[in-house]
Amino acid sequence: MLDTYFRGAAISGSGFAVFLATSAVTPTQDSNVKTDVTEIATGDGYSAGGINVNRDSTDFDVLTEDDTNDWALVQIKDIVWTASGGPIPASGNGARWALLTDRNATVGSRLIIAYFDLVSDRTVSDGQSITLQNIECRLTE
Amino acid sequence: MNALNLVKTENRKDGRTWFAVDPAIAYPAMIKFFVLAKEDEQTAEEIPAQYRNQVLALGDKADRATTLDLARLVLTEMLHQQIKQQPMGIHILKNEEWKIA
Repeated sequence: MLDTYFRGAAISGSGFAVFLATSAVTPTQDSNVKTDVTEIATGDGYSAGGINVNRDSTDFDVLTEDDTNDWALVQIKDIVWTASGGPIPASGNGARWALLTDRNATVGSRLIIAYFDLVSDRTVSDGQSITLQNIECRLTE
Repeated sequence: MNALNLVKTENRKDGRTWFAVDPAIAYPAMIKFFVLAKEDEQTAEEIPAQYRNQVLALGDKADRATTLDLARLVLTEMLHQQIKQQPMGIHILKNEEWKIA
């Protein structure tokens, strides 16, 4: 992030993505790339690498400048996966984590920028959706 | 409750609609709104669906940080709905008395 902000480095893939991971590995501040955690099984409406998030005010739709707590926050648009032809995940463990990454063409090399706890393993049946609403990144100013 | 009555607009000319939030005005109003929502079903319906259960689950001795953060999130979503989910900015003004931690 610092390389991009201060030195003008391009973001891999010119954007971001949000993917889902199982509880097999708990992401930490030391999780660097996508392969450090275990993505849920693909299929039935879920693709490897998750859903793209563009670097614009439509997809990062709410900014908050909190001078009381000295925080800066950014919310991401609602992210929705709808199961089609079977459940999401198509097999294996449910989704326990959502992770924000860059959009490197090599999916496994995508850098992890933030992670969000879904509290419990999430699985939806054919026709149902997993929706991430107002997920938010917080920086201390 | 009309969330727009709790804030003032800021003109930053960056393509977003910015709202200035005075914590001393907005947070007491939101907490009062939460208390009323727990007593009145019709008021509870005004809480954005994604936060309704969390608000209704707040106990009488709810943690201060949890309550204030939820107040911020609910106010943010209500404002966002008022401007039809267009790009938005929230500027929470400095007020040490309403600091979470």
